[in-house]
Amino acid sequence: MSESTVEIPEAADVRKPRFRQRGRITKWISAIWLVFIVVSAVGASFLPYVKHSCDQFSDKDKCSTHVKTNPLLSERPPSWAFFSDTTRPVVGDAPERYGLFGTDTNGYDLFSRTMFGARNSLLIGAMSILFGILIGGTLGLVAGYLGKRVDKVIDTIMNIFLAFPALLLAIFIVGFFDSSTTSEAQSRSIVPIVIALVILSIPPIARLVRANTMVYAQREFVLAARSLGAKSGRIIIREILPNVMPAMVTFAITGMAILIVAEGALAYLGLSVTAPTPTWGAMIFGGQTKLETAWWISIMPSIVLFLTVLSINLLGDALNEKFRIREAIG
Amino acid sequence: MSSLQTALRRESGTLLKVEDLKTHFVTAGGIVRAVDGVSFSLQHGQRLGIVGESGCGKTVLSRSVMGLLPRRNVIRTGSVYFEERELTSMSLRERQTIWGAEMAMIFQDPMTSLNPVMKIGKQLSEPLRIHLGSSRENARQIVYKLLQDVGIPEPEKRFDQYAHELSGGMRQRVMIAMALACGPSVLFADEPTTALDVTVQAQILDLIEYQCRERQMSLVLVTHDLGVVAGHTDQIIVMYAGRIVEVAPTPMLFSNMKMPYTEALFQSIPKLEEPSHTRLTTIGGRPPNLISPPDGCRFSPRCPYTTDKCIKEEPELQKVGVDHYFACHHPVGSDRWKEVQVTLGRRTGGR
Amino acid sequence: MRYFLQKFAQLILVVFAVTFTVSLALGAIPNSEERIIAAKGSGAINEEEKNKLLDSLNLREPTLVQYGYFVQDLVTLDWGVTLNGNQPIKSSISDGLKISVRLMVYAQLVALLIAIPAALLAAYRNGGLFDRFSTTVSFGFISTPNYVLATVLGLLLTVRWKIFPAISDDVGFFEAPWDHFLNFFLPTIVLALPLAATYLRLLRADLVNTLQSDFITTARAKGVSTSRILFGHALRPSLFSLVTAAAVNVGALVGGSVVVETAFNLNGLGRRTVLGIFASEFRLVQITVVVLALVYVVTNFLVDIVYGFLDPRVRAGRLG
Repeated sequence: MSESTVEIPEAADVRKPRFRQRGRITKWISAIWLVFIVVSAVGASFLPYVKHSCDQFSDKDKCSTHVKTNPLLSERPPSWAFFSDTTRPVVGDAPERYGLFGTDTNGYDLFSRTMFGARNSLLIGAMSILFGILIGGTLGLVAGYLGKRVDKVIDTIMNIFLAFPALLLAIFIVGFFDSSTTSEAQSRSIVPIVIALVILSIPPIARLVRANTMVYAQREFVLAARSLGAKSGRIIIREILPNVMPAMVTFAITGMAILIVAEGALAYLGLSVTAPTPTWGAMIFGGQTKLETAWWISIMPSIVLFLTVLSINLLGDALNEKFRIREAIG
Repeated sequence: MSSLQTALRRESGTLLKVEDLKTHFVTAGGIVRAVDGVSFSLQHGQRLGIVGESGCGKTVLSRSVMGLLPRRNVIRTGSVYFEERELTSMSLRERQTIWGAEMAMIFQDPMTSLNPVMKIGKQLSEPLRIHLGSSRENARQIVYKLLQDVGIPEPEKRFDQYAHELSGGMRQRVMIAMALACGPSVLFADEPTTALDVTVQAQILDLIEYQCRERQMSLVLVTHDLGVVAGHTDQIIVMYAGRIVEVAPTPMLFSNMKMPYTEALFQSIPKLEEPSHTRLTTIGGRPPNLISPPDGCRFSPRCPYTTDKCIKEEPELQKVGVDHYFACHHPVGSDRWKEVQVTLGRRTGGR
Repeated sequence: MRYFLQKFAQLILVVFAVTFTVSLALGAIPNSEERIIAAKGSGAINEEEKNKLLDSLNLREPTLVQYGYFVQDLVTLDWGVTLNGNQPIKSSISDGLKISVRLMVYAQLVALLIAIPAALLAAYRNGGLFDRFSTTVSFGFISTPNYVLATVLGLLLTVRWKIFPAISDDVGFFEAPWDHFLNFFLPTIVLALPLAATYLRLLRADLVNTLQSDFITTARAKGVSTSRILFGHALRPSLFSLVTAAAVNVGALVGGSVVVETAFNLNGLGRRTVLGIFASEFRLVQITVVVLALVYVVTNFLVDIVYGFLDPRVRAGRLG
């Protein structure tokens, strides 16, 4: 019935012009915030507002924090936190409060540390999701397109991985690598973390890509390509992949947020990269014991993490809306 | 106030009286004037047909009269009187006591109009339990009888079935049974046969007619199909672009139609007498934009008899014969009409 | 019936695969023997005891034999003892399970109690003030990592205002109800809020969709009251996404609440696993993981069965 011109329109249609205005501002703020974080992360070493120095470290590895330490400035509240006082003795003319985020026990400027932490957290998140997409995406495409046996095998393997609660799987994997290294030093590199996160992200990505692939594999243009003699590999890459891309990209973005959070969780449990390398999760974990006396050590990175994840989610959501084919309502 | 409206005012004892009803929707593109000033009345036991193309506002009209539209983004003006009570000023709760009990509606697609996860019996019992306060057992018995009345065999078995287990025709019968359950005074049937097979259509229409007669119920039959209203109504309203363009008792409408639009509708029905492979006559063009309808006669862009007067001046409803009103400057039988007939190579005089 | 058998077969397959993987993983850890010995604690341990210990764990057997013993031990509930302290693993796991399950149940209940009414209200007045407000708030909660939430809430309610204890004890409900409540309140809230947010989003989306259906219009035209339409007609067909998520979370929460358990010092199953990993308690970790995976898989299986109940069309084999 083509009474579409007079059918009762979705109430949201009228709201949309107004709603969009509100949504617009939020999206712009998110974008700006993210740009800020990424720029700070990438340029932490040479941006003027990030205090750092490698000079004091003879051992370059210890310089991973790139932040100047100053024991005289230990545990200072942020400059604007007039309601908080430091519990450390104030020597000489060292200020009562310091910096945008305050300082931690070692006297590191927390703001700078957070920015370096951004670099690490973002790096881990980005690398993990990238590999996850590469491997998971390939598996999904292959499974979705070739179907039958291949599909069943891949699907079953993915289901096995999905049978474990995600975090536990990651913990298991990191623990596995922990056990594998014989050194007593117990210092963890970034590698096991990334591997764990990658393995974590493969099954959901594979599932998503597989579902999408199956939809497109049925379509006529694939049949057409096949009848022209195109080989499977070529079809997958040239016909199906471009169609599955949008979903993959959206998932990649929200997935990255999830992985950054996951890394934080691992750090919180003490299972991420070891100190003094800052990641947001590690910083939150480190400040736990000091919640009463120096709350900013945990809270400030928490806020930054929250805002970043929120921004990524908002933009990912907006992207999702764009790619979704709108159905006529009613 | 038009002559039609004055005539309505004088009548009393009518079941349903609609006065200058307007329903406008607020949308992102503007205000859609779906129903733009409709007035009519319905007597007890009368069967009224509302005909028009898709998009002319007839469905919106029926729901508007019942009051089923949502509040948000809908502007409704005018009055609807149901047995002297004014529906338009009632609260939702008050309307809910009337819906199902005194006014009922059946819809176009019985597959989507029935709850897919609720047993048929439960859906049928619902109005009985709400409006008549029946117990579950009582309701069950009544439902069995209802199912039989609408021609569904083995009602005990059907009671516990789900919508997807029934055929299209049976589902529509269930819908009808549901509407009849509490013995309403008026039944609105919104394109009840459009989604059904042709063979089933006639059965359903006959069933509706039979039930209306048996229960002394009024009927408002909304459809785009002139053939449907031909045999099953006492009076017909023809709608176009949110307005009434012609209203007449059924036999008179067919024998003495005045509105060119009605004529066009009639001509587009394929006739048995014509030889096979005769090309179907269609009405060219599309229904007007209801956000900004044209100033003059709304049908003029598509009317074969249109003149300058039609474009500039909107025709008022005029009376011709008993209960027969139409709105046109150059109706069937007028000089202009005769002129054009000659050009089109058709015989003059009625069909 | 066929549906049921299909799902059951899948269940069995996954269980096998999980147990096999876990068994395999132990064998793949290098230097496992040294670690086990080291974990056994201080003090010299002579050859004989060493061999007895290693034999009991079947580490020297070939993979399949190892697996066979593993399954046997699992099924006969002969789970052994921890290396450090000789605690029976069975009781350790059951204690942990008690806490984790309790937490999960509390969190799910609270989350559903918040989400369902809120979703109904939001969907009914779609686009209204409450709708937009709750959407924004739930988005915020979804974006908050649980450790952040735990930290912030912990800071405010435990440290600053000292309402709740920082370290939660596993006090039984029947022993001291109020203490029990105090101890479990914060962890439950921290788990329940993001959960409720997700549930709210899912249910609201489905409800909005359903409310536009034709059969809702029919119900309205029958004079059915608004509350009855929401609860009786609209809710049931809209529950799918919610039920799926809730079911997945039954398993996910039991094992995955590690962060919350750590934050509030509750010795649930997740936390014990982590501690076990740190302490090289391989056996404990193995069995815990299997138990958790089992919980997860069985729950999903039950959910598929519930699907059949909720939607008769699924039972009939066709989808509407």
